[in-house]
Amino acid sequence: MDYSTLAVQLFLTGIFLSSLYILVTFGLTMIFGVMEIVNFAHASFAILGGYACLLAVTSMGMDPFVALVPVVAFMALIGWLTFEFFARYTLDVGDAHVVHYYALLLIISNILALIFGLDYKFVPSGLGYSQIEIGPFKYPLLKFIVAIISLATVAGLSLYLKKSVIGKKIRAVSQSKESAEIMGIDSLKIRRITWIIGVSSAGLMGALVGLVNPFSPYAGTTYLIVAFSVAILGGMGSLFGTIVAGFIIGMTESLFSLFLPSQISPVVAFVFIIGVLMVKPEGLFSRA
Amino acid sequence: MLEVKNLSVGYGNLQVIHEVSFALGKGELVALLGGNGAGKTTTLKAVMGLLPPWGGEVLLDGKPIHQLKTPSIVSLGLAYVPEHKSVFPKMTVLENLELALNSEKAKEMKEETMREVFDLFPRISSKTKLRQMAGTLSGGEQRMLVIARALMSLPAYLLLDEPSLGLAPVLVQDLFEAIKRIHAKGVPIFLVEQNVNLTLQIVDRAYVLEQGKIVLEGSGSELSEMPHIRESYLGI
Amino acid sequence: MQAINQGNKKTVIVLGILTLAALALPLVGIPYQEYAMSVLTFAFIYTLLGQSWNLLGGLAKQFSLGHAAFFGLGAFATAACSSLGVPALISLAVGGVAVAIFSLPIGLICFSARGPYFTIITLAIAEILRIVFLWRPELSGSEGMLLPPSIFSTRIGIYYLTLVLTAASIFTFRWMARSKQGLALVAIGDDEDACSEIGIKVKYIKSSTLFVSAGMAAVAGGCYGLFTQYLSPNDVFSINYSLEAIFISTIGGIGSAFGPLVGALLVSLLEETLNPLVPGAHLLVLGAILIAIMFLLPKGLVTLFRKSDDKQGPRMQIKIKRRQPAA
Repeated sequence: MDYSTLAVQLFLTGIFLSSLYILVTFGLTMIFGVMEIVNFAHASFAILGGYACLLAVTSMGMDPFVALVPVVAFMALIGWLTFEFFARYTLDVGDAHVVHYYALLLIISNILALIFGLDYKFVPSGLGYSQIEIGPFKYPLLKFIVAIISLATVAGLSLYLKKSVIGKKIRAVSQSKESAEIMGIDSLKIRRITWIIGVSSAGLMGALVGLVNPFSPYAGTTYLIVAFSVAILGGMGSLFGTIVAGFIIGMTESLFSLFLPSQISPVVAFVFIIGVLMVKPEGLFSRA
Repeated sequence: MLEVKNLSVGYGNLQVIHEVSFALGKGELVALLGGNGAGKTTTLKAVMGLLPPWGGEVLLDGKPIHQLKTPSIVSLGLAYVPEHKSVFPKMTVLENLELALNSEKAKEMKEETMREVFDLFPRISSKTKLRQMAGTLSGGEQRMLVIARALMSLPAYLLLDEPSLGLAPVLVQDLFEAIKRIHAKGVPIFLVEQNVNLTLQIVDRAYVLEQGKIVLEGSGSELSEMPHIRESYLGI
Repeated sequence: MQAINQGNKKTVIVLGILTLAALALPLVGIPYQEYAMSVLTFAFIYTLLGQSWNLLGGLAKQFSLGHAAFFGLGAFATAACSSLGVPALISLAVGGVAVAIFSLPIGLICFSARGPYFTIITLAIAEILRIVFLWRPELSGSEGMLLPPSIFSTRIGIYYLTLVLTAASIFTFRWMARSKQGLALVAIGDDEDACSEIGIKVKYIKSSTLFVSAGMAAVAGGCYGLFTQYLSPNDVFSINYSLEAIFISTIGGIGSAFGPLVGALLVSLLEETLNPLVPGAHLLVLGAILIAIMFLLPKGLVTLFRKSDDKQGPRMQIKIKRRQPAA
């Protein structure tokens, strides 16, 4: 294999990884920015999305990519339920809220373990190993599609946040809670919407990952740490930072995959984040 | 009419405001004066529901509002401009202004209100300025933006917390000019200030707060004649 | 004796009776004896784990989500020694000390961050260990590691061992909480910067506390290994143990010496009762209970056992107030 092919492979894999990491972290960082909540259960929502997709495909015979739509709708419903009956009560608890969210993580992971068992499953995509041809280069079609969907979702969400009225209110609350309140912005409503967007995007990421990697109820831990790595590197609450950090970590991991076996590649992100936190605990683009 | 009767507020175990009473009538420009630490900001925060009152009441047109939460108080028409920077830094000036349209009426009147705002604060009204990130404006411009933003919501009462604090003298003049003109349009304004000299020149009435208690009240001219004021606050 | 019970005779008597009962349990032939010993043994192991977390989290509010790292390392260290022929008790001690020493560089890494960032670094470290141990066959690989049988692989042996260790951990916690170090930890939990400003050696105190905490968690892991005789990285390094450590202390009584014991008893009871029926269900119930406790009894179940005027327990409160600028 010559170097140019290798380079393109690495680049595309980097984009693929980055797109997923950005997607999952988007929600996490939004939730932190608007609600000041560190959602330790975020990755379990992702895994929940994976199982939802699995069900849709295996029990209802849907095409996996079509299934993404009802999966997102389902996750939005889950988001609404978890906000109304749980998250809204954790808003005034302060630093202790982390324990509430560990409990949520435990509950979701174990409900999934009870229903689906602990063995690894994945969502069949029907695409097998087919490749897409980009000029003289080939790349697995499945990963390509997943990356496109992730990036499109992130782009769509970014646009929504920038241009729509609610999007602006979300950003306003994230930038200055007190000002938003004294201007009459309904912070509970905004927090609810943010939470639902966060949970749904996590679920979508989980469904997409499920198409590519086998997963189990506890597999979320790895993605949890990756999401935190991206969020902290980019600065908790900064969406732009998330995008930049997502690319940094995704590309780095892709590069290291040359030297390291695949099971150990998540460690790259972890070592990264340890390094960052030791040097600049607030992250690259923190809002302070 | 905004009335405050025997209001007491504190932090933790410390009482800061001791049974303070004042009123703001239709179309008036009333000031609450006092030095650092007198409790002026605390008073405003209590009126706006940002701090729980320990005692006393706040009445808006006769109806009690001191038990309400801040968003409800805001929706009744009270607009509060805090003393610290409270623009949305990563949004443009225009976006900051538009976010203040929190009622149907305000949205309807948007164009007209904007024209008035541009008239009052030309510094932040140029096409370039409107597209600038609010966080990059100078301190004075941010202060003007926050006041302009409050005006966009068509407030029934405007509460300003030390708007001149930290501003360069020439900007302070501009600011007080703008406040006079807003007053002239009929908006009732409650002004909390340390700059006693300029304030007394533009207000209808004023109260003086010392160590959490109202010690003096009267019209602007009455107060500026009082020896206590002249010595302690005007340095005469 | 006064230090243990603040002069409350009734508490001493109750505790004394319970201790005697616990000591006598394996000797009398009561129904459900094996079940009770199993529950208590795991409860004691969990108490050690929870208590180790309690030192940092309960006193100094440093919420670690990576205590499984020390638990697992202790388990594997003990296993390694044991396989080399070292007697079980010594293996356990070696494991504890080795992991405690290992915690020093880890502390350097972790303590550079605060609050949720500290939590995430600890989680990352536990995950790294899990992945590395799974990956390298020299360490354990995915096949795991077996331990040779010992006196502690018998029900009675492990029961008494863990009982003694649990009592020791309660004494250790109480002693530490009331010492100057304990006061400093509480102060650090309230306002770390103020502490360094007044000359408290924050780094040293955090590191030395982590040393004890890691050692305790390692011993818990070692006991677990000696009893179950089989270790797998996916098990001992799993986030579940880290979470259980937190839950045990939080449900039982955060910052209290007996809290983790109460919490651990609950967890162990749930586990032994529910697991045979539906594996993993106990974690679910645990999560639900935790949420309920967080809203209803934020200081933990221990508050139910305290007299109403003593809700805070022996923990002394130090408030370091920073001078606020005038409003």
